[in-house]
Amino acid sequence: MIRLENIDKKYISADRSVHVINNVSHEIPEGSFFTLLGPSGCGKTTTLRVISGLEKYDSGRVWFGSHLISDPEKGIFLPTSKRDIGMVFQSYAIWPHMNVYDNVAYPLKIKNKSLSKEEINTKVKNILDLVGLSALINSRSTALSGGQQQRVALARALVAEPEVLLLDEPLSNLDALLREKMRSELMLLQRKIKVTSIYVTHDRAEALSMSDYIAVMNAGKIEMVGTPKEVYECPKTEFVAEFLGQCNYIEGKVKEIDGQSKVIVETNFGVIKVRMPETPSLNDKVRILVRPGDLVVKNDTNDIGLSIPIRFQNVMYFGEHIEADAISNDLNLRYKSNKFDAVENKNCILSLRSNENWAFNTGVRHAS
Amino acid sequence: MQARSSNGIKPLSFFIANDKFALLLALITVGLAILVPCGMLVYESISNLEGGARNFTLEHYASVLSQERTYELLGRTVLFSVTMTVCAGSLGFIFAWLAVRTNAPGRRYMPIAVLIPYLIPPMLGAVSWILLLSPRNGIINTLIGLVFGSPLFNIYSFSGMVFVESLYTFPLAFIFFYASLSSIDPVLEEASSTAGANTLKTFFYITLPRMWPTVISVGTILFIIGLESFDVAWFLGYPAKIYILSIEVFLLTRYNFPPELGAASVYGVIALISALLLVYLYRKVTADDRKFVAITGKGYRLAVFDIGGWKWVVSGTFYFIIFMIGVLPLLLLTAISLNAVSWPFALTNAPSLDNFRWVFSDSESRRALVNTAFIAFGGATATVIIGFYVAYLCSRTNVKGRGVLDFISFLPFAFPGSVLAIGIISTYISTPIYNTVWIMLIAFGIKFLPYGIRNINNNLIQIHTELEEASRVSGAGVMYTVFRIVLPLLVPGIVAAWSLLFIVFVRQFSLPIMLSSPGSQVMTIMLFQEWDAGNMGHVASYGVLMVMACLPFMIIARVLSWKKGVT
Repeated sequence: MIRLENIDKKYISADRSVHVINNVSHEIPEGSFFTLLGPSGCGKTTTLRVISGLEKYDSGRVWFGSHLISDPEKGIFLPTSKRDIGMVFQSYAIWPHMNVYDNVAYPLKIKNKSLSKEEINTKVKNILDLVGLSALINSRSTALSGGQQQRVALARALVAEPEVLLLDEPLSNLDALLREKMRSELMLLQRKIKVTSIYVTHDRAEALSMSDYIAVMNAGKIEMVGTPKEVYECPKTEFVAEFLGQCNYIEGKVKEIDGQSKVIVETNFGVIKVRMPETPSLNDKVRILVRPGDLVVKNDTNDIGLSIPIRFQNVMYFGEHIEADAISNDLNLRYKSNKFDAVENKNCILSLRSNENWAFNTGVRHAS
Repeated sequence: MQARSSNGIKPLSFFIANDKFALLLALITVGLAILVPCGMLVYESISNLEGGARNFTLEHYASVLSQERTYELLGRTVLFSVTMTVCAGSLGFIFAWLAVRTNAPGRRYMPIAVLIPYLIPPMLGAVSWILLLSPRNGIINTLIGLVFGSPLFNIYSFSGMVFVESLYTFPLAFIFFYASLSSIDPVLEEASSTAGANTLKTFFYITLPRMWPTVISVGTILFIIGLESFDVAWFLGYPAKIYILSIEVFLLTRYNFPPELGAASVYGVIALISALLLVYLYRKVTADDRKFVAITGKGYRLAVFDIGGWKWVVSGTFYFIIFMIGVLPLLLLTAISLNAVSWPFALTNAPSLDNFRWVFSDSESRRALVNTAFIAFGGATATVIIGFYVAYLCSRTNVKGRGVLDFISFLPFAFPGSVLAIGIISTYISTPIYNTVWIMLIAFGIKFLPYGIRNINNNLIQIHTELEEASRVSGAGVMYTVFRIVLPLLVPGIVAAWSLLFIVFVRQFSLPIMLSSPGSQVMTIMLFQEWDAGNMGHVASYGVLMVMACLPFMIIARVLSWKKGVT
């Protein structure tokens, strides 16, 4: 288990100061795959480097289990080399002057001085087997492809069986096909050895598909932590909603409240039931989150009481689906469907796929 | 896991403490080594020695600054440097551009050919051109005399000084510009032509502005080379009583009796102030430049312009210059050293190794050879070690105060050797190492530390920081990481830096002439003495030996930097 307590870090230069990490606290459960997700400059990589000890910070505490690892205010700082971690870097950082074996054996030789040569050999072989690279054990590291370097980096990070595995955008330098392949391999490997993993990425598909938990960061703060399903379907803020995928909003006002799970909202297009992060008051103005794929062309079977008259424009073909602009009077909705039912300049009525929708409170109340 | 429980949690990281300690150590040693001589120089300029006591006085300033001669001297020094910079710089730029971007025949061999004159120490360049253009018995002048009745050129003149200094600095300018021009991404130029600009417009709007930082930084380097020029100014200017600052400082300290250290220091302080300004300017301009100079040598395929018949003119001129400043002097010196040619110019029938025999048997000469070897090997090694230490601290840690170290250690870059020597003399005059080779070792190290640092730094910044971080994450400490990861990757860069320093140290003249004494003489001083005594055979032998000693290291340095793509 890793625990962050009130981590805070500012860069101060002559002309400006940046709050890189703004009072971040969180507990990462043992054995979980935990992802820090956010746009560049949000502080996710800095947070990872704080955990690794490669970056100093101003205040707050980092705990590994029950051990306090660093606390600048008390002058406590366990150097990176003494932390029980493994790390995969964005550039892989494979040492070009060593071969695959030497790269992977390096942490073993340093961390476990008592190991015999045979034991080291066995461990290196086993871990290379695990990442599927045992054939290349004696290869020069400069002769490796990107994907192979990636695996060597992973093997090197795991070989000493660290308490925590840190991954800093490890897939971002691979081409699209290989990235998808490595994504599932990495996830299966983590599930198999159950090492607590902290993964930094700006790619929402990686975050959603691999993680047990996702922390969405923005401007130095954690906006929300949850399972992939939670952050996607029930985002706490509009930032989280938008960072995880395209969003449309339909505005309305609260007509009836029955606890958090049942709020009835009245819109220009009909009345609809939604859930919200917090219980609103009557007549609050709300924005209903509608993902492009949530929109459907209305027919008899999917009537949930909403009718949005639109005209399709800019229909784009993607192979597996189509996307289009669905234009209503003062509303421009993004439409996405795998039924290929949008035709350029065609008028039709849209509805929503399900009755399970999510909405944000705008903080403004309608005069009733 | 065990690591943590056995070490527990330490109050204040070892790492922070180490960092600061390392910086402190560097600041004390490097800072003292450089700043004390600077301070002594200033102190010397504002004090005089009366009856064993030092008194504060401004009389040196009063006397130096009230003479009209002083301003002539300073004016001539600046004029010399500027003219040389413009000549060598434009020659280097033009030929580098022609070599990179036109279809001039033999253009691929130009960066190799240019190393031939680069191999010749400036003092030998001066000597060879005296042999060619001396008004009394220079070979070319004699030939011209046969045709026109009287010699045409006088090498012992201001223009002669500029001419020779420019010719021997031109290869350096060429090498810098060649690397920089080859590293311009052709996409930038292609984008310009697709936007409708013709070749000329592309050159002025895209290529030249991209080159601008390099032009400024190379210009500054050339200017500094001019300011501290000693060899050429001494061999060509002194006989005609045309002095520049470095020579004047030397004459005041070593030729006048009693030595006028006070007046010399005033000149030194003037040089110190301009050095500070130049270093500041240079670093400001190259702050961004340093980044992209380092990523050269990507082997871009650049568009090559057909310059028609001009290509023969271009290549002809280039190789003619190389022949005149490189091949011919080398042939001439070799011939003289082997007694195949005597001086004044005449063929002899009895080539022999007598000159070399003398060089290796005369006891004073042998001692000089040993001293040179000691200073070149020991000095280059020490400078590389300290240079790595400083470079690593300044560019790989973020310890506070590293900027100060960076600036101080760069200061000697713009400091004429003879000026630095005054400070060294004042600092060490009452220590036992004064008048030994050790003081020269220290002086060489100080003067060329910036070259060592810059060279190593250029290589260091190519090593991705994540390679080091990966080692730290694997459990290795800072020292272990430096020895297992950084140094092995840096070997080519370090060997190249070492080789360049070795070459510079073998041919250094301005520091030894200020600091050496009987017993601590080096090869360049012997060469100079034999020149004064008129023993051309001995002079030529020393010259040939210097070139031969430097040749292998020149090859090593060039091969390594071509491989790495760093100049």
